[in-house]
Amino acid sequence: MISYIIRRILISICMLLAASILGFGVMKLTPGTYFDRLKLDPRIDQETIEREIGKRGLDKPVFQQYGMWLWRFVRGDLGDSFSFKRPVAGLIRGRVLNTLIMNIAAIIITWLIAIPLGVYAAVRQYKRSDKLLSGLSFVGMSLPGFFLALLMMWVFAGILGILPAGGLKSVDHDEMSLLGKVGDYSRHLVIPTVVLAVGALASLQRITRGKMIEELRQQYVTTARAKGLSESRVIYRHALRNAINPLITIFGYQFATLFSGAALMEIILNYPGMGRLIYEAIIAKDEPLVMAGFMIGAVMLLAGNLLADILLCVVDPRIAYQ
Amino acid sequence: MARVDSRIITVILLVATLTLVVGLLASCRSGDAGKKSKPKVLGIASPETYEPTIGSFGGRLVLATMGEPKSFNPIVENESSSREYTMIMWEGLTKSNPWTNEVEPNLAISWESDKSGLVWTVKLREGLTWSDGEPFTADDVVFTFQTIYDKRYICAMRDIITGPHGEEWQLERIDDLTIRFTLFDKNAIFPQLLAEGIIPRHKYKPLVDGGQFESALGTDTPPEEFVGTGPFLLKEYEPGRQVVMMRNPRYWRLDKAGQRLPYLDEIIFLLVPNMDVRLLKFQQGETDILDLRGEDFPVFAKEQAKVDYNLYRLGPYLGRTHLLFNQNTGVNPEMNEPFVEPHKLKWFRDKRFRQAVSYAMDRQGMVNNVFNGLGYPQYGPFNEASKLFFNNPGIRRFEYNLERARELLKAMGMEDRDDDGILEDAEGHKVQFNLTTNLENTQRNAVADIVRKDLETLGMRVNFRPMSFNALISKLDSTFDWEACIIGLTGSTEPHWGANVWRSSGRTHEWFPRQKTPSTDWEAEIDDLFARGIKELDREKRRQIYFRWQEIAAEQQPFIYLVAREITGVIRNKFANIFPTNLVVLREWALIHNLEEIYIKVE
Repeated sequence: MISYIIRRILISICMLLAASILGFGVMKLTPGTYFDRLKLDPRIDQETIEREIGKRGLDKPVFQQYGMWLWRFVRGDLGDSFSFKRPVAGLIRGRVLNTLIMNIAAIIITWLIAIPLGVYAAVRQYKRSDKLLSGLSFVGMSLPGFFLALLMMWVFAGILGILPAGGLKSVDHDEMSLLGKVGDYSRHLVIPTVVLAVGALASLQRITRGKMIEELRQQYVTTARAKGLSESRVIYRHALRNAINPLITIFGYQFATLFSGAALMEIILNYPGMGRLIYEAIIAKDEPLVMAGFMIGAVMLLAGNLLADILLCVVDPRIAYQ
Repeated sequence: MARVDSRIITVILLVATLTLVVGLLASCRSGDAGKKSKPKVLGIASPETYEPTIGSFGGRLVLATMGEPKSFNPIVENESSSREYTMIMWEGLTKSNPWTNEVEPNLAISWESDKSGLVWTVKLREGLTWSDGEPFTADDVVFTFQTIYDKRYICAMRDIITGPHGEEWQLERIDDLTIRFTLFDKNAIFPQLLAEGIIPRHKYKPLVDGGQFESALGTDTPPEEFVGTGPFLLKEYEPGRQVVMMRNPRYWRLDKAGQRLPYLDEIIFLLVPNMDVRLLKFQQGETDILDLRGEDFPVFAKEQAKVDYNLYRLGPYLGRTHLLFNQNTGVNPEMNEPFVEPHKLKWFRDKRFRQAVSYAMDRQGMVNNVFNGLGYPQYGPFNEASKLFFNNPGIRRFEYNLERARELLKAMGMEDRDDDGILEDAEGHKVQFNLTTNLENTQRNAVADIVRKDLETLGMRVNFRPMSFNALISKLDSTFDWEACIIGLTGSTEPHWGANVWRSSGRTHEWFPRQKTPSTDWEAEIDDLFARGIKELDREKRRQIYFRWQEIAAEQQPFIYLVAREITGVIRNKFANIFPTNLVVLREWALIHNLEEIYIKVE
């Protein structure tokens, strides 16, 4: 097991290297640099712009630039953001916690709701409640997140006025008591969490349902029932444990998105998360910040996959890695 | 069978949700029935109506702004999202009158030049202090200009006050309150240039000398480090959420009763990138002020139960949109091909072609469709509705007239000879070209779409291909492989700010940048006008010079000006001393440019 993990980590490093080359390459292939923005400002001279470009090594060959970036990255230096003129690490630190809170809340809600609903639908296959749930999940799956976010804001903030219109804290947050602050956070988290959960919930519920239906048809279920086990024991103890494998793989992917925000939704909900920061960096071609966001995504994806594989091994004794 | 069922259920669910939402809406609307009132629609103030009243202290103003501040450094290159904060924290020696744009004293009380016009003596106001209590002196002014001239830092101001051969202004401290500026050449806008924010020598000298000033005063700098002369200072910045500014207790201006301004304790800028959310936040009462888009205006103008705000229509915004054609005669050195196909270049460089296009522009249609009627047709670099000092009201106006457009094209030999609905030029080439603009700006895209339709009415075939801002800039600035393009420029009340655009050697002379020698006589004349304009110290003579420039620009139409949007906004009616102007670079400031005088009415 340990040797397997070490091998996986070594492979991951190679993958990261390949991913970084791809990311860096794509970024360089898109036209323009951050400093092009200055070119439209009639007050700034050509030499000034060239000096700024030279200072950051953007006039060097792409390979050399990549080498410089990689060398810094390996030593743990993410560089300075072009637009903020301060270290990228500090910028990301300011956002990462917000994104983490939102994503963890969404994952918990998704799992708490999706699995019981999936099991419920599987047990009552083709009954009216199953169809209702199917209908709901189709609606949930096909609703784009940003649209749902806008809709919820419009209804709950605009018309009913019971939830705040985006953001993470109220204007007078700092004057609140501890309890008040927690309440304030929760009120602001309702819409983003629900929006994120609705998207993920639907597919998770569908997969649980499908896998459960498959397991419930297996002979060991019939055996268990014949043994006289209670129906809940049959379902939750026996069938569900066997149905859980694909869900763990999905969990691995969800884990990967923990630090990466949903840019579109964050912009609409005015949520100070990673998505907005990186999106704006991409638009402005703030290269160090874009690469940092990209690498965080890549590392988390690889880590999530590894985690899922290890969990699979723990949950299912049939799976063993050499 | 099962599938059909689930589909029906889905449809029923959707309908049910919609009914619920509509029902909720309806119940809210009907609940408000009863006494309704209409908000007041107000216009701009003027120097005659500007009479601030004596206010009361305390309270805060909350506004939502689009951009994340990138830096709080007033000297080093910054974008408009950062300028909002720096202009409150650091004031300049002079400032412009909000309505007439005449230069007025601020931290300096007087500026006089000797006979040569090269040596200026500037006297500072007595008794000024920095927000930390240190006195404000001539040393700070000298230090600020030294920092601007420091080549280690990128600074737009430096390039403006540097001569063509790197000449610099010499500053000399005469006494604590007097500075002598020796210029390398006469400069008519010297007093305006003094409006640049002055920074404290005692606080920032070590940073500037050590080469760390670029990253100093960034978004992670502790608030104590901000020492300024402005009415408000940075209190707190929380990324992605808000910037809080607090009252500077040592601000220099007093009200008529001798009380120290500003009245408000705090200004809170919420960072909200999405316009719809900014609108919701105002409607929910979270923010106090909002810059409106044309389409949002009716929402605020209609009758409603509770009206706690005033609505403003302030006239044209300085920024404007224009169409231009590539007139670059150059050849791509790598491919050895001309930047523009020769037959097209011939059209684009013919003034009759540009005039015909200008005639074909349905500017009023653009105002109605894109800005919901809240905009102004534009025919020259200044909008007539603003009645600016330098605006030449007598320039040629190409008002919508398809007949005249067709006549001009016919005179060039452009006719539809094969009856396919598309014009051919004298040599038989079909009149078709590519039109582009930047994707990100939805209003500009809407304008471009009308431009395309208008040109197709004339019989031209236009391929409209919007592209990203960066891609567009690289075409305009380095690869030059474009044909027609719609862009916008930040406007100004001072013609010289456009010098780099209008001079044929300018880098942003967009239709044919960086020419060694002017390619046409009229460009040569404009070059000469701008060279003379900056040196002419007599205001009336200067005005005549720029009148001539506008005449040439209107006749030649290198920029086919289209429309300017109207500044519209709302502010809670609990605030007093609101004297709006439309001559602002940042639209949000139209209502609150005199922030230090604004106070909350006591009931």
